[in-house]
Amino acid sequence: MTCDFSERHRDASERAHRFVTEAILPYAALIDETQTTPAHVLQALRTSGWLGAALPGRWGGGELDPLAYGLATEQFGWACSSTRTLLTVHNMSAQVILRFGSAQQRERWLPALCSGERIVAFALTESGAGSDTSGIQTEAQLHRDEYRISGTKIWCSYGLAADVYLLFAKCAGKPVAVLVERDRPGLVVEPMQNVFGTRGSMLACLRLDKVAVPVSHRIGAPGAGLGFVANAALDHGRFSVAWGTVGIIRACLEACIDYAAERHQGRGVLAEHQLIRRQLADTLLSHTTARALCIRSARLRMAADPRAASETALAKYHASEVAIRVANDTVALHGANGCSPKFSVSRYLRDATVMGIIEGTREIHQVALASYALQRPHLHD
Amino acid sequence: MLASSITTEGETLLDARNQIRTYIKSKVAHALEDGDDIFALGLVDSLFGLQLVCFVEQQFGIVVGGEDLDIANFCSVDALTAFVTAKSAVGGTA
Repeated sequence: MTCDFSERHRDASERAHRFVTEAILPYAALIDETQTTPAHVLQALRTSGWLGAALPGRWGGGELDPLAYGLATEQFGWACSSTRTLLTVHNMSAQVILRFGSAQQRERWLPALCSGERIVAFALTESGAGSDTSGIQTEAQLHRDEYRISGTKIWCSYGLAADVYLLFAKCAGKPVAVLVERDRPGLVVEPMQNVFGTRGSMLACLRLDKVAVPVSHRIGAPGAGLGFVANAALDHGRFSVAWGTVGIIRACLEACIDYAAERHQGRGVLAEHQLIRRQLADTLLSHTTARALCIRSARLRMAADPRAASETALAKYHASEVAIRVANDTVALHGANGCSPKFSVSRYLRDATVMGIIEGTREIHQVALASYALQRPHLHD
Repeated sequence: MLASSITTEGETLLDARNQIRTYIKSKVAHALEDGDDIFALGLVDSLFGLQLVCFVEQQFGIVVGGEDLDIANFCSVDALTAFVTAKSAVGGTA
């Protein structure tokens, strides 16, 4: 059963599985424990082609369509949510350069982003602006042909590894999106550590003090920074997170099946106990439904359907909700072993919890999806 | 050019306006005038802006570029009609 996937889609999934199994999975526990991504893993990612996999061949990208890219992202999420995060932030930023960047910006940035020569990260959140991005305080003052940007960004995933940031600020009260190179004078990049989940995602705090950036680095029109550019990037991010979360659910399902089949308790293995069997059934259902919604959103994106952004939000909301429950149940099924670092399942739970927050919290999704429900989308299938 | 069959400039504008009005009204559960700012009135959320970009590109075969991303182009039936018409006239099509 392959959900009518084409050869191209199966190939993307299988190639990603081989890559993560060899280059990432053996280090997933270490990445979590040491709170960083080892240089050799980063290098493998840079040269693997996966960072530019969803970008056009014209720029050196892998030309994967949304379904192929989603299936590949699922494999990364299955192996390691931290490194999956790099795919997410790099691609979501690169996609808006492709979509809304000028010809010069595409020419300058996309080849290096496709080849992995450069990594781009997404710098939006501030201490006073999380879900309500309109509250950003970072200021871009216009001086002739350059912005001078001051402010502080936090929770910038892979900010420690990035060469350039897609950063959001306000200029004369209007939100702007600007590409800021890491080596610009006045920019200080600091690590943020001891976080709960996706601990190896090299989180950074960016402190900017009058960082001079040419106006030509702005993506989109003045005022479009949040409503269009950030939203478009976050839409790509949600799609990636949704698929990565399906990967976490799959990892939980496989861990539960293996443990329940091998662990003896009472008169037999766990899988012979009826309440455990119920959990296995529910976990399988969670994986199947979350994956089905991701496939649906991928197909809508491939058709450039205007519903795609909302259906992607629906997929991300569902996947992250069920992943938290599934991962919690998975730890419980493993008993005391579930709390041991010898098993990966506590990492799955911590990472799943993060999936329920990033790219829009549960509550933000509920509000947005209620608006979508009022459009009666179910009448248009 | 606009995706539908059109013979005059006036018919082009009317056709675009009707399609845009029909689409937006189908998504907004309120009575709406062509000049109403759907964002300022809080009738839609921030994701709807992306939905409108996708809709006009699909429906009218235009390409919305970075410099077109002005909320003033998308905030009402009037604004979107003017944007689509202008964009079509300068050949900003796919």
